[in-house]
Amino acid sequence: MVHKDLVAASSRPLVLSILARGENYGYAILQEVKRLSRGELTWTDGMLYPVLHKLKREGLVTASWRKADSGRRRKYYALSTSGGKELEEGRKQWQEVNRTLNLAWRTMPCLS
Amino acid sequence: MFELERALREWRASFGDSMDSEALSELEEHLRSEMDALSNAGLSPQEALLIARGRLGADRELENEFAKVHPESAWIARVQWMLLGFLGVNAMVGAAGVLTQLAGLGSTVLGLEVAGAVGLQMAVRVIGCGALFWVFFKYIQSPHGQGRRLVFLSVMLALASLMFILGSGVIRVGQARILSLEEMGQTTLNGYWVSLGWAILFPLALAILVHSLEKKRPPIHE
Repeated sequence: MVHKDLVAASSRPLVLSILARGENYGYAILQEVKRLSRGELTWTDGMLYPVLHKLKREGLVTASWRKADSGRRRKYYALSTSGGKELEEGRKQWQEVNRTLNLAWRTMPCLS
Repeated sequence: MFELERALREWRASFGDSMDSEALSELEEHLRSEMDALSNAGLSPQEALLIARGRLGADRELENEFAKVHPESAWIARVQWMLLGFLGVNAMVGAAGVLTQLAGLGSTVLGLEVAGAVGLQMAVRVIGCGALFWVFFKYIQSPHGQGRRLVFLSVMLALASLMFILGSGVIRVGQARILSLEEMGQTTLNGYWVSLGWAILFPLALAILVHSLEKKRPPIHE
């Protein structure tokens, strides 16, 4: 299980990345997070929505209500242009963190 | 018998007024999707709702998280309750006015002395306002009052105030037929102008309240 601070930190780039593949709604985004992380990244389901609302408020995603096949109305989110830029910037930063950690681990003293 | 729609309505009502109904509709859609998946796994609707709610998270925590993203909605809710308080006070003042007039009319008819008249007036006001408060609190506590309690309460208070203002005037006219204007005194007449002030402020507060509630309705897009 990933620590909740890391889960919180990765929530924005993760949601943006999923939306970069096409518009989606809350429940399906969560299913995708569970699938990609093999259940290692767990959120309290409801916490996704404040994240989505914050992204919308910052103009990184757009939202619209539409009728789904089930007949119920759903709120679909889509990545905006500035959302795409934010995602690109975020990706660079995360890759930098990843590279640094990998290097640090590789030079760790080995007992054998 | 478990009624899903009713249970979902109660779930919605369990959130505070700072959660706007659009966010609640979105969460409700999430609950329904989760419940569909759980029902397919063989759970009863009641069990599915219980688990879906658990996965969604504690109401209070969700509310706090949403409040961080939408800090203004907590203030809108506060202003709404302030306006409702204003309307409530207005209705109470109106009710007290009617009761005072009734007591005055009673004293005139009974030919009571000052002490008796004041006593009668106090008794009528205390009993009447107490009864009114009791009705309000009973309503707020009832399950029917949970859903759209702000809208219903404000409309009820509006109607009550209007009735009180009219009633007060009618009783005053009745009293004036028995007593002369001099006997009623100048202060009584001043009361009319105070009522007029309230009559202007009151619809203003109601208009602001209704306008702010309109904005909370979920948008309709197909």
